[in-house]
Amino acid sequence: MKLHPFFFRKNPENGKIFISNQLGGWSFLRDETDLHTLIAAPSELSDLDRLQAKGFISGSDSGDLYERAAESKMTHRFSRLGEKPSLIMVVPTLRCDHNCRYCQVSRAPLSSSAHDIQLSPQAIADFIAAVAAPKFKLEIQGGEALLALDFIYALVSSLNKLRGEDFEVVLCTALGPSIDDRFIGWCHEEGIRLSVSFDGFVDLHSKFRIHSTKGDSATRFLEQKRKLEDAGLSDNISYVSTLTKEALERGPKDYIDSCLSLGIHRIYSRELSEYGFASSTKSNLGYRIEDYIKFMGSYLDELIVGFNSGEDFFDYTFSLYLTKLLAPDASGHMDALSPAGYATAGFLLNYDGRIFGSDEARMLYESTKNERLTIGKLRNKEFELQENGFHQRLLTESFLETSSICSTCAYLPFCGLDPIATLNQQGDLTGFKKELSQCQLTIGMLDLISDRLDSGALTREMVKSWI
Amino acid sequence: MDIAPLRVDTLFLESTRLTSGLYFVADQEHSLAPSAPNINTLTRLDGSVYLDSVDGVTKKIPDLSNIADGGDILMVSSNGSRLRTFLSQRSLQNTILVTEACENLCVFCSQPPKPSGHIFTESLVALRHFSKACTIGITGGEPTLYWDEFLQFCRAVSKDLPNKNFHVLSHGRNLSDTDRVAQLVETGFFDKSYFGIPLHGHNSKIHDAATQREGSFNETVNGLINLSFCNVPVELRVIVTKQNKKFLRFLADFITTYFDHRNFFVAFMQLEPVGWAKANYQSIFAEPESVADELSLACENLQASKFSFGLYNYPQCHLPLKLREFAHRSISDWKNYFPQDCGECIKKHDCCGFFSSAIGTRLNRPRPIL
Repeated sequence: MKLHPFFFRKNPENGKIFISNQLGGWSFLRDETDLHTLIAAPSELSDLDRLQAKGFISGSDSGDLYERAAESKMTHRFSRLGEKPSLIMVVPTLRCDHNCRYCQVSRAPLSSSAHDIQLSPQAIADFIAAVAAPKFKLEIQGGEALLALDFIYALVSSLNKLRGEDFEVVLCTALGPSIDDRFIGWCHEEGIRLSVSFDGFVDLHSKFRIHSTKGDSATRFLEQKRKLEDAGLSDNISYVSTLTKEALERGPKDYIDSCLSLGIHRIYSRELSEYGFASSTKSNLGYRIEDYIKFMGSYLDELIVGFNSGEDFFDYTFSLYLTKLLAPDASGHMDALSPAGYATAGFLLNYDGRIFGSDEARMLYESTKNERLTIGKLRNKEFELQENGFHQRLLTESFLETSSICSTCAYLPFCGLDPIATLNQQGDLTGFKKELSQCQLTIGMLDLISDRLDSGALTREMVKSWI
Repeated sequence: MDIAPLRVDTLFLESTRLTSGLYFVADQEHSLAPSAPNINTLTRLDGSVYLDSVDGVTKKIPDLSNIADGGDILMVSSNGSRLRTFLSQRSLQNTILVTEACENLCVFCSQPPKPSGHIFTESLVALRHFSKACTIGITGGEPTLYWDEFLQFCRAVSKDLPNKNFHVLSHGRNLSDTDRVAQLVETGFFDKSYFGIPLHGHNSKIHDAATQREGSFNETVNGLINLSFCNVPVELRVIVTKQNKKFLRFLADFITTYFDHRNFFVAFMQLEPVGWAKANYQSIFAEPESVADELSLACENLQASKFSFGLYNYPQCHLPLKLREFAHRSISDWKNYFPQDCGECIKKHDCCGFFSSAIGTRLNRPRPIL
């Protein structure tokens, strides 16, 4: 019997020992005694078939199978770096008709035309067509995307000519601006996805998302939502919610009921951002990560109870971690890759022509104006690279496999990081990753999900219908 | 009465004799590829009259149109009295059995190995004259057993036959040698091929017992890892038997842990009682009821890890409800039949039916879904 290198961690949810390895295999041992047995005399454990199947042990005749498989898996993972980016974010305007207290992008006021993109849609389409992966996602960020519709129509039309059907389009919007028939027809025709900000609770949405001209923001949201649904666009909409302290205090049951009462069955909830205005309002609206994880734990349990009683509701925030645990190599979420997806899996083109390696990089730029964050600039048709070694450095630091502490973490095979996080939270490229909010969040979420999978509460049926 | 149809691919000649070897069937629309080496031809002159290029004699072969069209390649038996389709324009799946020899001795082998040479040279000639764009199955025996000849074949088809792709059914053991895999990469064959490789268990104990060859598990898995490095698509074949049926979930875990979901497709297969599987039927056949739960767990594990998979040779009524959508109608219509009880079954049209070779065994017992 041969024992292969493995990571371990005591899961605070159930007291069991979570073990994992570089193949992405994981399992639980009952307790420390079993951990000792695994190390000292693995053949005495009762669950040998599982441990063998998951790459923890193998027969003494297995040669270097484990090492070669690990090499192959790692090669596949790192070979992603040689591929073209598949998430292209464009900010056509930083203007927004909402003034959210937790805005992460430092939006610009409605009247500020200096915050609109000046480049021609054709020039941008040419640039994107040249650098994007064979299949890619075009995500229109803001500001408020709907304030720049003419630009977006032209950009998508130009890209259609260059890249046909090879890309999907997502508009990020809070649905403030008026919606006309042309927009509705265009959404149908192009299969546009709308990523709509809605905070789950009507009154909290009103409270934190202040609309500058059209009165109560939740009333406006519901009115616009109805309009899109009446136009047959229900399936094109997904909802993104930012959880504030008050939402957490109300608890997951109320949150789910509130969404369901509005006909929302799928939502993507996320914690308060560490960027933009959110970083300064955090003391009022924020909470400790532990409290957030606690909420997520009871939230997950509610989802499980709901599923078992036939309720159709799910939060995509869990699918990110579920995918990481069950199919680590299939997860392409740009902010959770090692090495990072920064500038490799995706990039962002800002309204001012600046190119950033991630959305977080532009968020940090907007609040600091530090030019080192810029990868380059697009001027008319010319792309000007502003290389200074900084971005390679960021990528180098994002190899968690070689990062101290991370390299021995049981969740390493399922983890990844936007390298801007250390810069933003710790003012340093390397940072002490263990103290990043993202680290605590990832550990907490994986503790929860691995426990619920192990206990059998989270069934394969749920996984099948949710991810 | 249950009658199983037989595939017509062989023709027995009465008084006429042909020369042993490969023949190209020529007619007004189909003539030999000019750039390829010579092959015997049967040129259709009028109705059932053909001109044999070997002796220049016109011969009457009345039933030829039952088994062959113009452009097909036929093989004539050694005594010249029997004709068999070698490559057929009509067939959806042309497969060449390149050798009957194999290093493994799998207890369920449908084509038990025997000492034999190979027909790579002949196959290549035939393929050069076969115009249809298609995927050709290369099977055996073990196609990689005669490595140098296999390699030469791969080099030639990669260079000269752009309209053909290949599916190689192999035990994968020879691909554990990285030098050999490097040779294969160099031929360009991987750009136009995928490999079907059986894996019977998550450890050497189970796998090697099935192949009756010690060390085969390690070599096969190493071969699979090498293919994974080369991004070659692989169809992993799992023959479900009494011996591995309790371990299918672990096999699924092993696959998701050791291999990459982008390149691997997992095929669970019910065994066909022919060859050694027929001889060993009692000791290896796993009753469908005894497999259902474990098979479900295995499929769920694969699905959660984003691996594609399918179930082959499983009649719909042998599977639990949730697995039925993954079953393929995999038994060819010349090999399958539907017993009388299937008459009223609502799933008949989605069903692969039963092996006609299984008549009289427990495998053919239907449980109609009404």
